Amino acid sequence: MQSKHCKHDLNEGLYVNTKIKELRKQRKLSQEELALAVGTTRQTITSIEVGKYTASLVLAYKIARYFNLTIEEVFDFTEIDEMN
Amino acid sequence: MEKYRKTIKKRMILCGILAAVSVGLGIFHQSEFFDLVSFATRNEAVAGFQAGLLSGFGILALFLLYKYGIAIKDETKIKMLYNKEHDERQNLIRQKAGMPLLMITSCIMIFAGIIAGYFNEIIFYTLVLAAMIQLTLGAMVKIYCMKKM
Repeated sequence: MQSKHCKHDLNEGLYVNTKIKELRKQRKLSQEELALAVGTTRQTITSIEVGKYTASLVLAYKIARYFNLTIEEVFDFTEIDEMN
Repeated sequence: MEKYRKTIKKRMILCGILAAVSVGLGIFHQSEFFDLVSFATRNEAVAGFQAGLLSGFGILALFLLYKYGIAIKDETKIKMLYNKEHDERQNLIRQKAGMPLLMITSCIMIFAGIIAGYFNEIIFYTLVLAAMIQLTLGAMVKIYCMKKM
């Protein structure tokens, strides 16, 4: 049964919560700097942080690798696990 | 990034050619020589539209030339340009807005309208209006997707 907290975006996927904002603030990193480092735009980073856009596997990997963490440590898949 | 730098240089050359052609055609269009070689009655609406379109292309070409000229001198700016062009979210938005097919069909319709305009004014207006509506709808969808995503 679908969790009532799960939302669907225009990607026709599920919203995934992220810890990108906290990780950025810990390292005193701006959205622009992170975007430049991982090969995307500031607007995409903003959308990912507020949960409007779900990063692709490649982008998620690049972001996680930038912070020297795993994808699961950066992105929260709890809601997807609850659905299953 | 070197490969992209070469792409930018090629685009700058194309923009330069487009700007020169726009200016050249604009001068030709306004000159008396155009009336001498015209094989159909000169329609003022079509002529005005052509002049506006040529001016628009020329201005766009000059703007792009300036933008690429600035980017090519700065490593950070060229990287930002590259990221913007290859951004997955932007590409998804473009796909949902029907690009680039929408742009191609609209250009074909405008071009066909200009040609048809030399023979029939109504066909010119119909095609140009249809192209404008198509582009407007595509832009609206793009804006909506940008807000939602």
